[in-house]
Amino acid sequence: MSSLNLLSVWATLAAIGVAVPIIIHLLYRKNRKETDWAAMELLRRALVQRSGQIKLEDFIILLLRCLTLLLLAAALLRPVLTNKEFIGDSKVGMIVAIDDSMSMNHGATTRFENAIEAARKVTGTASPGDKISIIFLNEKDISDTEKVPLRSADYDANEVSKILDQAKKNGASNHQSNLENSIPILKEMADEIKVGTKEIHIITDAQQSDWNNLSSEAKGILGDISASIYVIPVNSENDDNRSVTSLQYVSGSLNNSGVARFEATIKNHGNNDANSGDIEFYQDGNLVSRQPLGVIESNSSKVISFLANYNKPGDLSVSAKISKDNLSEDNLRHTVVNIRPNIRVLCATDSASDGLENSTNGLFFLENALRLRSTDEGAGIQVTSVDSSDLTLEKFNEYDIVILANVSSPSVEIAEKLKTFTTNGGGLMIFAGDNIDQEKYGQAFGITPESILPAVIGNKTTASEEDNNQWTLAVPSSDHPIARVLKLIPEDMINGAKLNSVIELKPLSGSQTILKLVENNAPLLVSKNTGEGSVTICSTSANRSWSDLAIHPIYTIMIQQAVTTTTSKPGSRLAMVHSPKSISIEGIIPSNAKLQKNNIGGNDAEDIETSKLAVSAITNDSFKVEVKPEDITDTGIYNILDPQDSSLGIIAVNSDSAESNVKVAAGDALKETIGTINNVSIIVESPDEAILNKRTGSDLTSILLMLSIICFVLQSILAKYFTNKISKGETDIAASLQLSNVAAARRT
Amino acid sequence: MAQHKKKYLDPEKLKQIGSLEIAARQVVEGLRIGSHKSPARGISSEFSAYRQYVAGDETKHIDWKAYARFNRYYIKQFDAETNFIANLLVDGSKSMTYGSNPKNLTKLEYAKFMAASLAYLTINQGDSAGVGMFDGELSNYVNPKSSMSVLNDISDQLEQLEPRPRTNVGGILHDFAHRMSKRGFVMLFSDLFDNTEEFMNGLSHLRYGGHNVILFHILDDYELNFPLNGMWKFLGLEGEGELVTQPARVRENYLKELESFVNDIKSSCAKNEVDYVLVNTNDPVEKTISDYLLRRTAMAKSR
Repeated sequence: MSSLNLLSVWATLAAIGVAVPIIIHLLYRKNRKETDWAAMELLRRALVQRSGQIKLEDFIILLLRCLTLLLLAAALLRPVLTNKEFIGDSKVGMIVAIDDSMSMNHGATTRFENAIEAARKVTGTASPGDKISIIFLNEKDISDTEKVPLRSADYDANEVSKILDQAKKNGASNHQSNLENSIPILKEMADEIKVGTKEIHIITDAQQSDWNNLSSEAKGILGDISASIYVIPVNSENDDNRSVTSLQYVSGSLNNSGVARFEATIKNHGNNDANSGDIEFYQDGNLVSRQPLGVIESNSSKVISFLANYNKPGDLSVSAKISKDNLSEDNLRHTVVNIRPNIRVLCATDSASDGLENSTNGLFFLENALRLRSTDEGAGIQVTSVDSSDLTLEKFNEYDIVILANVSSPSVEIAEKLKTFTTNGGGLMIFAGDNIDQEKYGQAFGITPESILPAVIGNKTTASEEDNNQWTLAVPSSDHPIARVLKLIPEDMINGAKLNSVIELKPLSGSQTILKLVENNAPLLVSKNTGEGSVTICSTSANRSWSDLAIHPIYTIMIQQAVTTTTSKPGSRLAMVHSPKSISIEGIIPSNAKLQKNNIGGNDAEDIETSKLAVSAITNDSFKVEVKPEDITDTGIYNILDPQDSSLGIIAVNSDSAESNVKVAAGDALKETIGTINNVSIIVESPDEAILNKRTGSDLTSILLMLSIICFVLQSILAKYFTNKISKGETDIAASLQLSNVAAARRT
Repeated sequence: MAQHKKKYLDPEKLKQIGSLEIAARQVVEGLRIGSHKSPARGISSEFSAYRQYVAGDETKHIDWKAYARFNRYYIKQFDAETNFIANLLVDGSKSMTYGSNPKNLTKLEYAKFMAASLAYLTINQGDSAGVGMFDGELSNYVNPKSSMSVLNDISDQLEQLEPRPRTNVGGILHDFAHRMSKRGFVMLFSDLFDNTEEFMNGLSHLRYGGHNVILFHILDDYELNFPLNGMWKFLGLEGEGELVTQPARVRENYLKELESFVNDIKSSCAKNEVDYVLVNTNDPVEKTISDYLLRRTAMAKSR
């Protein structure tokens, strides 16, 4: 709350405090009664005698009433005196927030160990009767007692010590600190502590990636917290760290028996060049390759490739591990790809009956691109070509991919079947051509984002003379697996692919543009995931009528990679630590499933404690397995097992690579980021002494409340006394006068 | 209080009776039932003459001092045994119209009942009684007579009385003092809230004329105890304007003022040998009269 806002709150409360008694007084005057009166002179004389007194009494009562409300309003604002020698309640409400992110594991003596020691010093300043909360800043839910072991509890030194000992033993997590999300939690915890002097101690390595990028919204919340916030940075000896920031499938046929290329990216986050160590590649947990890392310059990355050979279908795990450094948690990274036994492709076109030998037929080029090793009937890609009119006779679930090349207008029935097919995991590719009727496509598939098509199909456009009647294929910038493999091709070769006609594509939300044209930036290849499957549209024809793409090497690479990624879905087996994950697996649904963690390097696999994984059917021959965040609290390769301990599939669990940049925000940078917030202080040395020196506040709330009650009681007593001064023993004057008459008469 | 209710007519019930004459009879009957000693005997205190004792006279009336001197029995005679004239003057000013409880009697009504009752009592014992009202002037005056028929006139005149602002009270009493040729009783019923000094001068003149003067100072219970709470607006009955105050907060001062006011009147009465009776309109009329007569008897005995 800004000081101006605080002032206006004060002013409003003061105005109400003063106005309420006056309004009550005026209302009271308005509700007066009337009577005739004979003894006016006596009354007038009594009033004259009393008037001065009454004014004073009224003033005193009004003053006390106003004071009551003002004190109450002041108490509600929970003011804290800066002078601790003064009266007031000096109880402290302390929240100790310890950064529990992966970067805290950095160093020989880790940052986390230093943080625990700092926490001991901070909590040592508490006294019995103080309130204390301890929270570990990680991605766990706030209800998790491991995240918040103490919440608004009465301070107990032994209990705090036990918690810190246990935390030190466990070490920091492999989570992100999630500072943006943690700040509102800290505010919530501060609000629930009901003492005047509140302190939040954030003990952190002040990682640049967290603190330098703190949003203005989070800063605003920090400023709104009604507590003194102390940021206590802890550090290790240096900021040096190398990490495997990514490991991914790049290219290669993921069919039964083949070779695939993987790339590991190693980044040197430190300030010094690194020139030592190796990288090891593991395939299904077995070491298969070791390469020297060579020189990696400061703040630079190096990509190292690995070719994986495989000869059986199923999930293949690949891990990359670099030599140990100051932060071992990010030295290892995993990925999993699904090796298909074979791929069944159904190709359809309007003119299939013309014969596949006809070079004007798109299927001719498609089949040639797909059947690279057509001699092996049991493996590779099996292609079935049909006329589009026969599509209604085909069972799509017998195929992995359906390709529509220059199919004029799929019926609504076909469109519905394709929708079910792709939602359940099938792939659909559509190539343009002269027969395409864009309106009928719109009618059959829809033109809204709910459509399975990644783009709305528009009119055919042809390159103008200005463009020399041809367009050029641009080097892809997308991160899509198809684009990733095309990036490996020299640029001039990519630019050598020329196109003269395309259909206009208006990408819908949720879609990804993989390829574009140089001249007009028009999309050439657009893809979208639909349920478990995907749909891709190519804006040019599958044959040579609209481009020479069909005879360009890119065509084959593009088709092969599209088919591979559509069927193998290399990203589908990757999960982030402590995040939910859903995996679709082909086969008969088991009664239940469980997880087993595979160790890398030949050690025995270990069963981990998980509840049974939820499994649900997708189709008759595919099902879905749900993995909960609490099932994958560590990085690694996890095997999903059926009740007979047979492997159903594998997932790779990695941590966020952002945590690998362990560089801390420099003092000035940290001050610049949060030092300007009024209630935030950065304490670099001796946190206990600094905090005790700063802890000067005394909570005046209870004093003000007490004073308010005293004023209220006092005004009630005075009001009663002033208005009813008749004591019980007072003699009735009339009786007294009459008795005195009788007595006087008797005396006479 | 429970005994009072059985013994006396509550002012509230008296109001319900309506006719002054009937009410006066009931009041007097109530007095007789309530007291074995006839109040008539002591109404006069004037010594008249001696006469010789005859058989049948009460021995307590024998003047033993005369017997010592003359060796004969003489009986001491009082005016009580002779006719006397009682003039009952009721204050008809507007301030007398105040009554705190609408069901109860106003001060004026109370004064009327008292006057009627005392007139009846007087005539009933063979003496003369007359009634007059004073406000701006003496009005509705009924000459004293000893016949019971005058009671009707007295009742009629009292019932016709319309309150008016009080002026020239002193002059009226002075005129009345001159007007009374024969010494007698003058009973005044007033709240004395206006022209008090002038009023007391008039009383002094009456007393100077040799009349026995009895002042019934009639006040409402609220005027005597001022028990009001909350915020009140007081409207003056004699054109004094209005006052707004919280009565509870000025009660103490008001009662002090009232005490001082009453004490001033009492001392003035004592100085002029005027009988002073403070009346609370909450008390039954016959109790007020009875109390006064007992007091009167006590005074007569002491002489």
